[in-house]
Amino acid sequence: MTLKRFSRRKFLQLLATGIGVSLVYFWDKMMENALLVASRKKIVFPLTRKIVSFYRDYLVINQNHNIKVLSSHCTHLGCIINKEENGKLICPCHGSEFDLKGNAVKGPAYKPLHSYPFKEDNNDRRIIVQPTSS
Amino acid sequence: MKQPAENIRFKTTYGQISLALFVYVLITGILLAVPFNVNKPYASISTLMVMNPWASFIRNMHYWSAQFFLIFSLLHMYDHYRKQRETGLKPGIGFRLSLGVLVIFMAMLTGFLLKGDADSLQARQILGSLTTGIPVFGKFLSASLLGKEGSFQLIYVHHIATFTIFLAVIIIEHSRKFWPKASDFVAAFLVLALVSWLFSAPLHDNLNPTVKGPWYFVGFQEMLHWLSHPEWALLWILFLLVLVYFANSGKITLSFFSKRTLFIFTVLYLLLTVIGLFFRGEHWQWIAPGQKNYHYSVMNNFKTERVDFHPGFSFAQAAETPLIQGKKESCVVCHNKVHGFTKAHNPKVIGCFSCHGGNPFATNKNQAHENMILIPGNLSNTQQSCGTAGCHPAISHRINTSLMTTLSGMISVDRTVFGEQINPDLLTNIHHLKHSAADEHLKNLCIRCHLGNPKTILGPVTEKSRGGGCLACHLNYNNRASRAIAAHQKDRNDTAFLHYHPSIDLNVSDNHCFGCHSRSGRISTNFEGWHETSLLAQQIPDSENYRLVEGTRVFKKEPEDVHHKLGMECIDCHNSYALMGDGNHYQHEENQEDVQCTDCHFPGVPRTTTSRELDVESATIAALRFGKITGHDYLTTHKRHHALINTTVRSDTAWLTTKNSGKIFLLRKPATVCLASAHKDVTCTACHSAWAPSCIGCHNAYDPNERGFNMLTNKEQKGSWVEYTGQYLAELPALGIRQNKGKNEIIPVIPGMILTIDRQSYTHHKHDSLLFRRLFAPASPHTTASKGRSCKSCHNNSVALGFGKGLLKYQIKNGQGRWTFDPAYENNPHDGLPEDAWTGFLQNRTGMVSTRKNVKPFSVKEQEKILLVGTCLTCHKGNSKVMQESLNDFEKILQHRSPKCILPVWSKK
Repeated sequence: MTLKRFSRRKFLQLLATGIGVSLVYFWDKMMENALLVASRKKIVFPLTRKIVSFYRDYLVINQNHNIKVLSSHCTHLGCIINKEENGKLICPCHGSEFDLKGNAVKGPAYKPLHSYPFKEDNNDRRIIVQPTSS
Repeated sequence: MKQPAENIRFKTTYGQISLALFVYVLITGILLAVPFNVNKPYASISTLMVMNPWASFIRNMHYWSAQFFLIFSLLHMYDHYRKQRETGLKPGIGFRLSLGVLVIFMAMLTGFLLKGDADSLQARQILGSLTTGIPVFGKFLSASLLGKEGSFQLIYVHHIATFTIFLAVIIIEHSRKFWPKASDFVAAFLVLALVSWLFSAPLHDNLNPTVKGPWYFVGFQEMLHWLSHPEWALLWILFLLVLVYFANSGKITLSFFSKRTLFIFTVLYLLLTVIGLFFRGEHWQWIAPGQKNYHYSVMNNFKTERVDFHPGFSFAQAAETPLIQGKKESCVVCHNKVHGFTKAHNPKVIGCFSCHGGNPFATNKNQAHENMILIPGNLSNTQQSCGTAGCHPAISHRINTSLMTTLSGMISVDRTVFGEQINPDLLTNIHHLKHSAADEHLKNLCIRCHLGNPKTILGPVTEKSRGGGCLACHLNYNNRASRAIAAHQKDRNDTAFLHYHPSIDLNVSDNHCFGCHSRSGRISTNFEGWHETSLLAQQIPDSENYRLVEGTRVFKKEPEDVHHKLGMECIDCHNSYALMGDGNHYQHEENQEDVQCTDCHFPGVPRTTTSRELDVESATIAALRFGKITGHDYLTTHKRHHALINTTVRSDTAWLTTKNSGKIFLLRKPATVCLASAHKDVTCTACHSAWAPSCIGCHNAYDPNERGFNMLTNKEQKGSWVEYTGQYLAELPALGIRQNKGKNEIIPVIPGMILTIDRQSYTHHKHDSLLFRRLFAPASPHTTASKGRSCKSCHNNSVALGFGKGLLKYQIKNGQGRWTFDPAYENNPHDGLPEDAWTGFLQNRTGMVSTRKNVKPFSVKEQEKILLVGTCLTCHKGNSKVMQESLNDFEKILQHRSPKCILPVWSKK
């Protein structure tokens, strides 16, 4: 390879690509850690008698002490489900419906709501969710 | 650029207008950054709308300049494509321009997200999901675009820096030769200023359940609705960007093809946008103009206020009001001294808007009051008031299943009586009424009392009130509020009532129930010890023993219910599930009712539940009424296991506390006689009802000239069914059998309908003959006496047995005993039975005999059984030892009877 064939323009192009790739790599690494930090959070809910309790990102379902912690985000496009009618959880954005077990019963969503494992602390009457363990 | 610049330099192009608009976007954006608080976006925007008209104006300019910038940029593209310019742009510029289109959308979308309202929060989720769906680095891209959940910091940075700088750079690169003329700037400013003054930028009220994206996104939202795998939508976006690129930089054929495709797509997209904007309501359901709730579900999205530079209140007044549900609400700025609310409905917590609607961000009276709900709580508006998602959505759904709303039993029975259906237990609804003879009869005479009948006049609930949705039971005016509203009704200029709001609370008194329940079965008046007479108002004797109701109906004193005497009210027995419905449809009152006498007056061990086990509704009501509930044990109902939250159980003893007055009573157990095996099928009310109102010999006919009333529409009409009543009586009720879950119960019954109906007068059909009905109805008279009726009042009583009034006699002749009956009333020619009878003396009666399928009079066998005991009672007193013993083993007593005891022979002669 001679210097003539490897022109200045080509060199700069390669350098720019290299810098671009490096930046994408740095970005990738930064985000990996940032997301990891965010997911470490432990979340605690009071244990109530409500059949459906709505929280921003979670739904706590308590049917005769049969408790489930579901994601409140519709599996279609992630909208926050904030309504229960007749034992159906209804998404406001496109009208997807889920039963209280989290199964999709009306489209466009077809996947069930994500269910989080949790611990029940009966003494303090609370539910502890650690999303990382899911 | 292939066109000579000089030719277009003197002509204003869409591109130049875009550029002028972009400059205004930048300037107003910088200004708007001053009042905007990225930590509380919704609060800060609503605050500036209410408190700072100039900031509001600048926000509107920012919004409108951005919207017009998008529109003119797209028109600019179209213009170029149409005029065949620009083809053959350098690939680099073409690429940046295509990306620029995406960036314009991103800059605008992030602006939309920065409102932080209900629309924005959901749009943020959708944007997040879509970006996450991009292969390989979607998750990182999504997090890099939107940042932490709940924080708007990163979105703000992208909005004001990342996308804006990118746009600025490519705009400068793209259009440096075409700087707009000063006149373009002036014209753009004038239009922007006018539009920004007239139409405010949208802000969701966070109460309306319909959520939509920005107008340019709504078509996409419609597309997404049809896609179970929304990832495909990303390919569409990519496809479009590629088309834009080829339209700019592709070879001639490819460019032409790309432009055509883009054009077709744009037309289709506009169509989808119209669908999304005007034909999609709550939950993205189809809805068309004219349909119920169309205005609330769809047009609410276009609610916009004109900026009022001289608001109807001072800055200081506005500054003093708190944030309500995360937003500044202008209503409470003016209505800031209103008294009378319960804690839960305090306007400092829920504002005025939560119940009364209107426009919470408008700053003058007319705009704020537009589309206001004057009387919230009527069932027609509960979806927008009491029943909104954060308040009482479950109850507002349940209430529609309650018989007080559907009137199913009343309608079904009436139709059966009119011969229009066979089964009186069919489920139906007041909204299904049509124009048959029965349905018209119901509309003319019966159905004013249903919860859906709207309350239309301000003021307290009175004995003339009917319906009113939630307000029917929960509306309470204190003395000051009552006086204030009365003064306003006299003099419209007296507006003191605006300071005294009625309370919406749990203090449901007997007066709330009275308007409706003092009619038909008349349980409200029975309970208080008043019996309706056929006297006219002017004939009322001057005596404490008479009372005038609604100005026309004369009532006479009779013994009141023992529970009323003690100070109990309707709601001390009837719980929220039985009244407001439990979500299931029931045929008749007795099916919907949950509480039974034996729930409180239980023999043996009580059925209980603990405060920890209470359902939310019961726990909330219990806590609101009685304070702390921890460690409390309650009685539960036998039928549906609901807690009776005003009871207390310790070991096997139970107490009841009255809900409104706090009186405490020990709950007494049933007497020994009640528990005897002979009476195991006898219900408590059969013995303990002191009296029941009854009416016989009524006739119904349609009079085409009668001035009538349609109770469904609340409008007067010509032609009406007319009821000609017979005599009202207050006496011990008759008894009958109800077959309930394979068991025969003895219950009190009243002559529900002994009547004739002239159907032909309405239908004019030749074959419609005069209908005669002899139907008794199961009754719950609400005239409880602590002492049950006497043995003879059942066993030796012709009315109790269903024969009607008359002489029921046991005679012994020639060593043979026989029961005889001489009726007081003549036989009715229609069926040969005495006018007031339910069944014939020692006769079976079958077929249509009552207003229920499972209620019938005593059969011959049952009559004989009752009269056999009656025979003994002709000589032995009820409280004699032998009769008391007979309660547990009657057969044994019979076998050991004295030779003097002569048993009846069961033949009529």
